[in-house]
Amino acid sequence: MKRWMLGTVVAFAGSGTLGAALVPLRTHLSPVTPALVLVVPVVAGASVGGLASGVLAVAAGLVTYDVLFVPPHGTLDVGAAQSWTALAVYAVVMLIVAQGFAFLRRARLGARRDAGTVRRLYELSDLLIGDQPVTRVLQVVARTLHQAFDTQWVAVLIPDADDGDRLAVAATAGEPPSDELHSLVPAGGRAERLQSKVGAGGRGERVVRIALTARGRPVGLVAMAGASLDRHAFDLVRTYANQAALALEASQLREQALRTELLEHVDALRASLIGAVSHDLRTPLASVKTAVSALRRGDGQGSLDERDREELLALIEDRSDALDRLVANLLDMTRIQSGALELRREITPVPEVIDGGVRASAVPSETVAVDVPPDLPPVDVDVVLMEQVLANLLDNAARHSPDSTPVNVSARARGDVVELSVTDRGPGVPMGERDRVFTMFSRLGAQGRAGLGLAIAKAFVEAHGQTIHVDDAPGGGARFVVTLPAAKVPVEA
Amino acid sequence: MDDDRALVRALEISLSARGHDVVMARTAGDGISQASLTSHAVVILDLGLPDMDGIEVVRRVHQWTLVPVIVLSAAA
Repeated sequence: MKRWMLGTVVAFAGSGTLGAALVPLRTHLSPVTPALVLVVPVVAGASVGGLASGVLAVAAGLVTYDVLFVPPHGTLDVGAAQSWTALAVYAVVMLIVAQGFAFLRRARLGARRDAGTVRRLYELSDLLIGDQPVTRVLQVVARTLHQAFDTQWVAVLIPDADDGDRLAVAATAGEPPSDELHSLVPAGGRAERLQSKVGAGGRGERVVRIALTARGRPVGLVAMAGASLDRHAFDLVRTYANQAALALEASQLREQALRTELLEHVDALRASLIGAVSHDLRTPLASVKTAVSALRRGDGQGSLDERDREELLALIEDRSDALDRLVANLLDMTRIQSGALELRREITPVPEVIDGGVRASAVPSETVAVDVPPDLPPVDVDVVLMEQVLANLLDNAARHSPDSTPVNVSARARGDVVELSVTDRGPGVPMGERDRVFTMFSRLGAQGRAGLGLAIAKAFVEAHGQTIHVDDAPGGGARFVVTLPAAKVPVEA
Repeated sequence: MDDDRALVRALEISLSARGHDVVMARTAGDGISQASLTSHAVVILDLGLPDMDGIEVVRRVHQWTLVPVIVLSAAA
């Protein structure tokens, strides 16, 4: 029910009820008393329904007073001329009262609306300075307009992320029907067609479209359906739209800046990868080149003895193997990163994995101490990958071990996994570094090595759904622990 | 001075074969103390030593001697 109708009903009912209540007492009352009492429904009507209700309430009050309290009772006759005067004055006074209360009501409603307007503007401007993602900004814009203007629905469209010239619906409030949303995108979806206009929606309701422009650049479109906008409201919508456009632009610029920063970071990372890899490739190459040069010169001058020659040749072989392993690691890393890693699992005894790992590593087998209990279950792994994991762990351990201390490899069954540990007597890995050692380029620094080995080991282990971690070895040094899935061997009866 | 065992050994054999006396050091600390004990004709230095930046090594060595330093570096 509309407010003015409600106010009128209240006033009519009030006049009737109060009049009827006073009739039995009218012989005892002065004529002024019912006149004063009948002001009450006028005040109520004007307060609830505004001036229109107030005027109708005044009419109802006059009729009630005239019929019930001005002799002759029960008719509209007034009789004496001075009664006419009194009634006229009474009518004027009541109209003034009605107008006063109607004005108070308007002022109260206006203040409430202004408070809402200020609060919503505050929310929108808050978005401008807040570090909000675009999606959140758009949601707040849609919700604010939906609530502020009592619309059926609101949709906000912005240029598509992939194709900046196309518009796409980015936020809605009030559940707009999907066919309506489709019809909102301008023909061809071109952003340059963004412009404000008022038209009819598919269901006959009024749809107001408002282009969001910031600094003359179109940044989006707002569509509102079923809103009744007077001039004041339309100006307000434009104010909201401007605020929203600025917030949207700020948010888009922030995201653009973030993307640029990310690209710069990736570029820097790529540069350090190339630096680190070229360092790792050049170090063994430098040894090979030095050894070959010495051998060639030695041939001419005969100053190298047989032992030196042998040592140089062994060194060339060893460094060539190191280069080969590095290239293999790089290829492994490429396979991991391109997602081309496929496991070829087979059930294998743990000692076989360990032997293969030692052979694939640069560590001489006599410096590896192996401790494997005889009743260990076999494991279900990709043997080639697991041998590489172990080889990388052994190479890492040997690099950090003091000369002439062995690297220990041990295994034990625990639940449905087999734990494989590689322990060295080096300085160990500080608590804060224990996750970082498994990330690529973690050892970038003074030594500038790529440090791919542990990163590859982790990737291979995780491809098996298993874990790898490093802690302190009892008695000092680092202990790398890998879990391997124990094979489920059928028990023979 | 170099922490790469293979390169150190290859240089040692190569230089010894040409009649030079070679003193090897795997860390900057060791290298600086070796350089201070005897006078050398030349220092061959890897910039990427584990315990000290190579430039710092050159600065320290040149505090008491003007021995030429040849820098070995894998960095491009």
